[in-house]
Amino acid sequence: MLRIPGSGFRLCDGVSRRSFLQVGGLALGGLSLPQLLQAEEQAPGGKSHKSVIMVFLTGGPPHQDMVDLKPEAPAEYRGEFSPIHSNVPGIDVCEHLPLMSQRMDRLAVIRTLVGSEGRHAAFQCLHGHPVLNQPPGGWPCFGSVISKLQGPLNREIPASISLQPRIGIQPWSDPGQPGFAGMKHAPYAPNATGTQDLVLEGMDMSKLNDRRALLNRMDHLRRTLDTNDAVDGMNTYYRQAFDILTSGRLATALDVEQEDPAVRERYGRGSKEPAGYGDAGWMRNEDFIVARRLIEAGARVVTLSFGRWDWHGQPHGTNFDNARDHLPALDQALTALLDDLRDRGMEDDVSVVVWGEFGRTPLINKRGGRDHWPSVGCALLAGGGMRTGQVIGATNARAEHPIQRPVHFQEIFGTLYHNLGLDVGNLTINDLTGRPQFLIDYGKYQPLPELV
Amino acid sequence: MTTPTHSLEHRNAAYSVAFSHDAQLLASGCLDKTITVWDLPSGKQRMQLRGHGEAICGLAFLPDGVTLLSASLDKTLRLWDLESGKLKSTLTGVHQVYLTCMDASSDCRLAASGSHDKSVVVWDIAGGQPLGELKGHTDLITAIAMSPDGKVIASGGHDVLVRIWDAEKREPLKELGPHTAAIQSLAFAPDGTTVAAGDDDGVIRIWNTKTGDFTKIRGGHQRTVKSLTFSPDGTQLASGGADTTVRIHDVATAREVRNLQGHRNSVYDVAFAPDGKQLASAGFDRTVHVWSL
Repeated sequence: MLRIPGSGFRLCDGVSRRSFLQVGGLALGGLSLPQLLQAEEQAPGGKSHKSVIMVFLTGGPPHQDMVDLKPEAPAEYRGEFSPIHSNVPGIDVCEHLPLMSQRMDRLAVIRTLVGSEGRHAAFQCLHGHPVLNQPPGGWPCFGSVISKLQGPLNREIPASISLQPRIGIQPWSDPGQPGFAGMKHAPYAPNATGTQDLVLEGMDMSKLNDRRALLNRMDHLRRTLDTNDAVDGMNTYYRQAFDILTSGRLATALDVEQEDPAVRERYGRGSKEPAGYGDAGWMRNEDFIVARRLIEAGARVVTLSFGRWDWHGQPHGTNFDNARDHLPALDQALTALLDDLRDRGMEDDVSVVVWGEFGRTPLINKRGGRDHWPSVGCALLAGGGMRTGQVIGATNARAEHPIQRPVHFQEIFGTLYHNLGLDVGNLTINDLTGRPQFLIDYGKYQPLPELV
Repeated sequence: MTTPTHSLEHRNAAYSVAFSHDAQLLASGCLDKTITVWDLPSGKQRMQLRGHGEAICGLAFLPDGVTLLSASLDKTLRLWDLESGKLKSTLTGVHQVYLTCMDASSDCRLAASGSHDKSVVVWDIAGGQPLGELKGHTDLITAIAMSPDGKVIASGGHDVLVRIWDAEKREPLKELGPHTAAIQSLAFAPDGTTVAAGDDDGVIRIWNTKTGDFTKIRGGHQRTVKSLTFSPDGTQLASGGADTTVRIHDVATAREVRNLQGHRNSVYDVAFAPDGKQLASAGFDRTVHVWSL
């Protein structure tokens, strides 16, 4: 994450800001980290550190093969998996989610997620608003709203961080747009396209393996900076960027190698290889650890994507082949995160949401796949002080549509805003025309009363 | 319970597997577009071959021992030099969409491939060119087999029929079936007189290609039969299934004689070693198992 190339480091004569700190991944739309920090300065700092981890199951997970199985449905609908009982009587889940089943008292299952536009896009899970007819400037993603309204908790960790990796299908790569919240509130996206590295010029890669040398060099850089008149005029925000990089807090949080191996083992490893067949991001369990570490370090919102869930069937494996591959990995990573948050006393402060952009077709296609099904999907919620151990909503006998309590994406967002202490009934952000915009369409949607 | 002698890990689903003629090498193809060549009996990775643009759905070693034939969903066949690890040639230009299955004659002079474009293509491997297309299937083709002498091709797919073709004349010879569900796997017996077909209902039928009679394998897979292969002496038939099992059947009695459990996901390919003493299986669980029989 922290890249230190071998080119010379020039401070004494004519400091080039760009060459001094070449910061990647810290902003979108051409804004560098210093610019982002400059913009964030005016935002109020938060106190309670309520936070959110959002897990995007890229491509649309099959609701009926995970948390809404229909064992009585005809074979062409019910699929290959059997339900198993959970530790909450009456809530059954897929046989490939055994760890989750034993923690169902700490999860809330939404079986009737509606409001999907059917687009293959992270967009749906980043703010819940429609793509069309956006206000001037565009809707800000959840993390950008939080950055705007609550600001960073400390100066070393951006408020909103997206772990979205580079993905072949561009809409899946979206780390979250800042929209009319302003580019200054764009999520910090260390894994996004072209911004993989934090770069400190003047350090050699070989020194990365020598932490003492690295720290010494950092100290030297800091001392030089502090005593050199040439940098007096340096923009304060470059100095802050330098603070972030040299403090090591962000780099440390991102460095999963520093985690206890036993903890890493509980989460599972995964890999940075593209999941599926090359057009998706990775399925890296360790991103769940990184998310927790970033929250601990001060982030308010961390988003990550996990795997490739767009399972249309042969010749890329059936829906069920892929589910047998992905579900155990999700089961392990998510439950390890929940246990970790509980063990560290963070469970009531950190809300976790797991979802995708839509559900999948109830009728299995002839290639053994399930196609896109925006009529209904599912979501899992945990932590954040929510009333867990319950299912919200019910679908018909083939999991085709809700028959009880449809839950809109915006209701989930409303719940998450609520968990962060924001009053979605009153808070607004001005769009680019100066018109105040509510965070969600409050006339229609509120935080889920079942959960808050 | 039988345990594998080797469990070789891929970074993504393993789709295909083949032994070299001297059983000193094993090649396996992956959903991540790579081919891995493993040394046996050590099980150590010798090399990885990259160049295909999609998953590797078929593999065959040429008799020279230093050339590997691969087939990919990217609609190409490729020949690889296993001494240098470099691509020797690419055969392409016929299939319109995913090439899903490939089999070759025992001397690898000829090969046949099937596609989701519903066509079968016969390839002159030595000459590096397609010889012609076989059209007749009315739906996706998902399984193909070529008789060891290269004279007959069997193909099957979602139209639930096994079609038998004359490879040289490129004419249809016979239709076998219908099965009750899509054909997902095919294998010719070493003598070329029978072809085994596995379908989405978990049924395996061994068809006589001349008479059209069949023997149904009893018991066995609970779901799709993804892969089939005969032992070199033709007395046994191995199958891999979506139920994650590898099963070995006695051909004479049509009964299952062994059930090899170790995969955690569908078994996409099975291959006997030339001496019949080992079996390799490639699974969607990202693993290739080698079993000692």
